[in-house]
Amino acid sequence: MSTELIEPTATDPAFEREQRDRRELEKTWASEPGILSWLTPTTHHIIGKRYIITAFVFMLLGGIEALMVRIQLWRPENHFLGPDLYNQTFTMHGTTMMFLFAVPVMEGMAIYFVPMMIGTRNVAFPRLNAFAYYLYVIGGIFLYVGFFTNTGADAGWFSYVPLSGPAFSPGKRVDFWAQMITFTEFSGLISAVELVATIFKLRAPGMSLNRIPLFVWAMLVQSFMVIFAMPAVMIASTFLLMDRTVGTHFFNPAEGGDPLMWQHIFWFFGHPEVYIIFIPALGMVSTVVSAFTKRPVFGYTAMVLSLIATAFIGFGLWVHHMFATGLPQLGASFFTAASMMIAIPSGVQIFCWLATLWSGRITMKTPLLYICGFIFIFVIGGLTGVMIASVPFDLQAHDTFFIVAHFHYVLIGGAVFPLIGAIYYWYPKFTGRMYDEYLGKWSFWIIFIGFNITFFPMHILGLKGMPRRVYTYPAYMGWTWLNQLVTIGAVIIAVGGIIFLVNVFISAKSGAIAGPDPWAAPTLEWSISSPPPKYNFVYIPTVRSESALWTRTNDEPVITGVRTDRREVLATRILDAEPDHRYPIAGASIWPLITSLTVAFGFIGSVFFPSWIFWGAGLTVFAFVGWFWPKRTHNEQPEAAR
Amino acid sequence: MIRPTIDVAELPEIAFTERSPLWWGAIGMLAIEATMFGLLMSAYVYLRLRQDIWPPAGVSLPHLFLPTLNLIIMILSCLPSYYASEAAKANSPTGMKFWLLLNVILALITVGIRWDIWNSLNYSGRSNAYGSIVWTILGFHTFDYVAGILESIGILVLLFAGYAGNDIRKAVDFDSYTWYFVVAIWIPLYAVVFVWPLFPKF
Amino acid sequence: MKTSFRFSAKAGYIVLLTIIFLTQLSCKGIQSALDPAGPESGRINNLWWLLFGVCAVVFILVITFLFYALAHARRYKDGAPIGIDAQKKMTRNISICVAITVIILFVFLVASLTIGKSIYTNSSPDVLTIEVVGHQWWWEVHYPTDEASKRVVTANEIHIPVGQPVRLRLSSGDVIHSFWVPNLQGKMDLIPMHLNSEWIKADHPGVFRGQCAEFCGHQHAHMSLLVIAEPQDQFNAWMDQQRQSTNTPSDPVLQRGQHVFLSSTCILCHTIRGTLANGTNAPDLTHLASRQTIAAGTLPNNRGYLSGWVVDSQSIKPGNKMPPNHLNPDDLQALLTYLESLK
Repeated sequence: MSTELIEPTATDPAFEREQRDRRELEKTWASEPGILSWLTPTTHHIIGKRYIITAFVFMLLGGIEALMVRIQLWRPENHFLGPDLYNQTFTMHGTTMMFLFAVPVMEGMAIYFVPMMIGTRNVAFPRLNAFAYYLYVIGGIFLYVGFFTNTGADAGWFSYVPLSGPAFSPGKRVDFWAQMITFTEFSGLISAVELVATIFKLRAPGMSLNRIPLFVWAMLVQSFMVIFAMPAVMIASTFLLMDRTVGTHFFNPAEGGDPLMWQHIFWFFGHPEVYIIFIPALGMVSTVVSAFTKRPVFGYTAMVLSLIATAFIGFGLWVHHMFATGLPQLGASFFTAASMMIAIPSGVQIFCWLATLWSGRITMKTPLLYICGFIFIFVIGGLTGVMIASVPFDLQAHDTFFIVAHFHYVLIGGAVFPLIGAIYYWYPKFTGRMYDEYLGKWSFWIIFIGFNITFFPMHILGLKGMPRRVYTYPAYMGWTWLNQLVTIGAVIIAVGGIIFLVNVFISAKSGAIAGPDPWAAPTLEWSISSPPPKYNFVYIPTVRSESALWTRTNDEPVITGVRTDRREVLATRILDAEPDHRYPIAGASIWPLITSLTVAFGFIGSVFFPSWIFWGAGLTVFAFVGWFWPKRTHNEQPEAAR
Repeated sequence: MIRPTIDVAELPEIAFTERSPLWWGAIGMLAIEATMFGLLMSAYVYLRLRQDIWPPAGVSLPHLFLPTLNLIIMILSCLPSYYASEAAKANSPTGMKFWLLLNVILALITVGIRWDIWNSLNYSGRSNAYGSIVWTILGFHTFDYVAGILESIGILVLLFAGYAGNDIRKAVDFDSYTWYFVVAIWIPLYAVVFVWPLFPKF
Repeated sequence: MKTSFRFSAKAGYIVLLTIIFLTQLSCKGIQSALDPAGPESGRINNLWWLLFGVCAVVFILVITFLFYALAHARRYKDGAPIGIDAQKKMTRNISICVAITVIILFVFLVASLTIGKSIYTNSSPDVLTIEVVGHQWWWEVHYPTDEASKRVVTANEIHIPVGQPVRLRLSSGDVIHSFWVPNLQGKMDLIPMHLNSEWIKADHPGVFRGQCAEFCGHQHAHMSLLVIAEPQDQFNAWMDQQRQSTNTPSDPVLQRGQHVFLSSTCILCHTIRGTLANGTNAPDLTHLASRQTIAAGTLPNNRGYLSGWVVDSQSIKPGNKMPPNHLNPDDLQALLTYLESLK
């Protein structure tokens, strides 16, 4: 198991050639000069990093909102926020965390790492990638402009009609929310297509389906879930927006519409959404577990099949959000069974990680600590999930703080802990420097303890009858001191979060130099310098196992002949990853930005004047003409002539 | 120390169908659109099953003749689209121009017929939930359809302006399967919107 | 081993805290799901303790194994592959774990379906049906009567006879609400143009608090109700009283109070049976004084709070539909006296 490449000596002709290729690649992949370097980049590192940073900015905003909610609930009959601002605040918290943080940050991690992990230079459609980012950031800013101008959405992150409909939510608040959905889901869908094409077609030779790193598998499965789930919420938000702005009657029972239809369509998206957030995190867990136990994760095939099974079952659960709506019992039973069944693939994965830990050689660094925290918290969340799959118990727990506790255990424990662990793990790759281990461990323990102090008492509050989304409660209910405990816990989490950020910022300047592979980790991103060059690999590598660097030998070939004078990657076959053709990809371009602005013009304008959607579409046609303007006018020679 | 290498310079730089990343991108986009139309149809079915009288009183259904004729022309327009993509694979600019032009002409005829059908409806999206879902299905599909035609026209303009090369070839190929899709997805939509309401018992 | 030891000590401490929480708390309460007062909530309570017990054991086993794995992992030297035997053993153990998971889930499923069926059905022929309509942000309650003129309509308070199954027919006048009285039964949504129903039954007399559980706008937090379970004869007496309309008062103060009521905007929304006031947008006040709370459980029903509510309800429950009333002090006192007379 060797992780080092043979260093060629300076007298080697191969070395000279490599230097020449490297110089040419540097030139080909360089950013545009000046201000254009900000507006035109399409390399996946820059777009991925922007996604991650933007998502964390939104997470901070969502975190501040959470603290505001907790301050309001500190004591009974508190007047800190009042009902109007409280409703906006918790709606913004949920919306931000689900749509503007959790999904985009996972997409961002994937956009940054997947091309490196599969051994290529960029994603398959770089300009589309940039376009998706701009849509996301515009949608997020749009929502927050609303919030800061007292137009913050206030109907909850799932905006049930009729409350969110034209009759009970006049004004523009819900319109801002619904249109933000359109922006972010559009963006998420594009990223998903992007990742599918990238993972299917641009893998390094030798990386057949059974050698894809588990994080990449997770992103592939997640992307398919996005493709089939997110259209539902776009349809739902479009129906809602049309009911509100042009007077259709989808959810108006007086004219043949039905409010429950909203819940069906929304949760057909909303439940898979949870797995869209969670599945990438599973990939991160496998990655970290493998690197810090010096073993491939036990049961690779079982892990992959579990991911796929989770994705499939995830589409059959949506009705368990609607057990209290009075659906027929038989139907509800089916969804109970399906909801319990999803515990099986989750269990398989937990057992496989435990087996890997048990049989591995453990280095207990911060990333692995977060994974242990993940197992602790996620198992609790998963078990409460099994409990509320049961219709009778759910009828008591539904819409109470028990549910709030459950989904924070699943989403923070299941997704954010692995995410932070993964950020520590990949921190040397992002920055070229090591994070501070001491601060890292402190931040873990503070966040872990704060998390449990915050969310564990919520189970009890829920069983004691406290519904969610209440802006206050009477003193005689006996909920006060548990709420105070929760608020204290929230502050502790915030302290841990600040330590994490301090660590990230300070270490970026003063951390120890990491070198290409500080963990002796198995995947391809560790074979290149840290931070990675814009073109990733001078020569596209080849791969022999899913732990590519652990099985690498000196006679393992590299790929030459991919052009270095323009941005080009190697396309391989979908199953066995045999080289298929060379695939030129786009370079820097201003058009993704312009197109996103024309699309935004139509979307935002239509909130105020529905007909503007057509003006926006018209402008977008022009933007697309610019985007797709072909560069060559003569008929090219057959390829073989090159 | 000489590292073994595999030289790929001889490999082509264009590929079609499942060998091409662009094809997978298109499949992804079409899967999204198919999901959207599937959900629109599900919404229609959901609303339909909650009502006893469908379509609601006062709604008169268009005669089946024009929609059916239109559907037939739409299906026929896939043929020139197919030949255009074959011409693209064979790198024949004349073939691409001719077949794509024929495709665009047929498509524009169907748009005209659809305009006529739409104008003949005696209800709007604001009348009731039936009107809302039917107009939305028509609207979404028309949007998609017109976007497809604009794409074809754009490519056609470039072809006649003398542009050629791999990008255009890929674009013509891409255009053909997006076209098959917008036509194919219309078949169930046509059945739901125009045929199903004729059988109020079902 | 230092790290994992610290880890286990702290985690163990948290587990201990958890257990203390659960034994000390969460059971008793006028709105607690684990303080059952009826057969439906009793069965759900039993189901909860089954789920909790099994899940707690599973959790402890998983976490114990995690610590064990962390503590014993180093016996495999770096680079030494796991032997075939060890791999087979691991595969076998994982398969066993998965099998146990499946069995547990199956038990849960059967328990859940059985109890689900029992809380949804009722075989007793002696049934009282009560209609509950949700409004932003109060509950309208209708009792069945033989004559239309003797209808019983009240708000935010449901009286039920002990030991008799009651069918609630639930619907909504505006947005979606959810009816939830945890001591008696799980929740059920009130949805416009959908008619839902659920069974409740109280095993012993008592006052049980319930609260809207589906977010319904500004004052979702202040939309509670009381279910008052009382013996059959008390319940009948209450029903008889509720059937009465008011009479024109003879006392001059009450007359003035009634006059204030009838000559103000109150009558646009409120009903007092026996007078001209028959608005239906707000709670029926015919027997206001017999109720324990005002404003859907927001305040106790006494003269002081009632006065504050009449004059400026917006400062108490911001966003509610009742406008402020600027009355001169004498009129206000007369009105309050009148309202207090509506037993």
